[in-house]
Amino acid sequence: MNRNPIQAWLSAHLLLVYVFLYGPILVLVALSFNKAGMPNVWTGFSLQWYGELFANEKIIASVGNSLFIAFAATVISTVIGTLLAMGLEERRPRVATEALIAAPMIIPDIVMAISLLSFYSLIKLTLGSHSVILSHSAFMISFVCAVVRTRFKHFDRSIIEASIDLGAGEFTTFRRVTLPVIAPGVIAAALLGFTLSFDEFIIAYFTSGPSSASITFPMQIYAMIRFGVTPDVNAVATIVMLVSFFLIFLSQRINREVEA
Amino acid sequence: MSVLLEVVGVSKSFGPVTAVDNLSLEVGGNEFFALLGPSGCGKTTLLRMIAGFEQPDQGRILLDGVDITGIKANKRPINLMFQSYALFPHMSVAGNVAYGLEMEGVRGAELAKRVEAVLALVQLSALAKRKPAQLSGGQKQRVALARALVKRPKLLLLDEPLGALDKKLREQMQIELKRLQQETGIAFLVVTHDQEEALTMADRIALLRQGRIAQLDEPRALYERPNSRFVADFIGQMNFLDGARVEGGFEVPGLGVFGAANLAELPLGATGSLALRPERITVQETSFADALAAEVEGMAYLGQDLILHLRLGAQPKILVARVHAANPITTHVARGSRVWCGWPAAHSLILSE
Repeated sequence: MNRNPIQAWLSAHLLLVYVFLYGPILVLVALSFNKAGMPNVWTGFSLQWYGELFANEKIIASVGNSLFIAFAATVISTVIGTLLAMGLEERRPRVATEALIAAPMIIPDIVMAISLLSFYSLIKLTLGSHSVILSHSAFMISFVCAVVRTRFKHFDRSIIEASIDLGAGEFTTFRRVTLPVIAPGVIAAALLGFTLSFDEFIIAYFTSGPSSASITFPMQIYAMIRFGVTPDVNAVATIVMLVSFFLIFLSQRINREVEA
Repeated sequence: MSVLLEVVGVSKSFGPVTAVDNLSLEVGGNEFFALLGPSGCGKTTLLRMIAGFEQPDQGRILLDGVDITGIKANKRPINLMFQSYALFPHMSVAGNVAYGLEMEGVRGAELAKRVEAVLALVQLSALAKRKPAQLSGGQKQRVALARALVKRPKLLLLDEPLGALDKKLREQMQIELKRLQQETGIAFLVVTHDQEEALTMADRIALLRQGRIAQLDEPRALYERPNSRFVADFIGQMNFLDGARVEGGFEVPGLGVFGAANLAELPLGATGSLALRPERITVQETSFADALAAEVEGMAYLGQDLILHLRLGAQPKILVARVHAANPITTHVARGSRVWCGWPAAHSLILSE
């Protein structure tokens, strides 16, 4: 008797949260198809802004930069983060060690950005795509490590001993047993890392230097909207959002699949 | 019996805890040997040292007369069946079984032939393509067994092999393991905390206590001639009546003077306990020679047997007797019944400590 009103309230609450979270995004998606391109009037469905977007060389170039940076940073952080996760599993780490590894996930991006920039100028590193890759790798390692470690929670360590008992060496055991079993976690971590790097603005903005070759996609968008939101930005945002959604969904799906 | 495995004066400590304490034993070439003991007695540590996953602090381990103490686990002709089975979750049943052979460089038709043969041996041929997650507990256990057997090790170690199975399956697998051991001729060394499992399967049993061997014997000897109260208590059930050796027998104060199988070995004045198996106690409604009067304090019905808790006069301890269902007394005995009980001296022992 009592439960129904409570259930109804909870459902209403959930609905409101969804509206709050996704309302603005839906408006943006709708506007990206608005012929007029103005937020105040709907003049009909059109793909015109998507067409203009793909004709914009600056945007296309920046997407290329971002893909390159995200890919390189993903490779670096996935390798290091996975090895880090394995090492942490091997020797039960202290709380302080754990905290230091997880901290880059929580440290505000602006702090990371400023400290990395200062550090690079201290060691006289030239700025460019490579410095953005390094910076992104630095915080992505924490995320990769965290995701891969969740995978190890379900990992029966005796299979490593079983492999050795059956005559395999350490490297063969890693290649044929450990890696295949944690692979879903590693792939999920890489996909998450890729998304994080592709979307990241502040750190890239601070550490990319003056060259146009290191302007990332979010930086390009920022440059565009400084002179007012143009309708093609809506189209860009819609595409980025869909790709990000897809990657996150894929990452969760892969990580869950093998747990069952 | 040719000696296959020799453990010579092996000790292993973890920090302040001595897991294995200067332990020596030998296992024969075609033997089914059991390491039995309560948890924490060091049996698993000993097993892991034989497998090569732990290094002894002291002592040596020899296989076929060759010192293997310093040889790594992956180079020993010994395989271990893990308690958790440790099957590779991403490989099929056949893949799991083939893995160890691939490490030896076996390939192609030879590999396929040997995998098939061992799967047939454990009756899993039909499930070769399944993944471990699609198998029942009993099937997983067979895969783990096949994976170890296919390597044709000189010695197969089994860590609590039946621990995760339910009772019915466990009883089946006890017979199955015994059959496999005899068919393959590989020496089996099984670690278990289950005395029934050890008694059923093993040719010889080493009962471990605090890192040492309490008694090493054949199952029958271990059950019928335990050398200490600990062994007698761990293997099966045992009644203990405390007393001392006197002229003409063993005196239990307030109860009388009794004989025992090992009475002659005991010096006069020595104290100890008269140990009696519940099933060796005769219970009747009428008195018989050397019978003691008792009162039934409690009963437990087990189907084929009836357990009676008997109070003997002013004795503080209850005597547990196990009466077969065929005994007419089982039909009408009740709490408070007056009965008579006794036992042949040859089936009682005097144990110290």
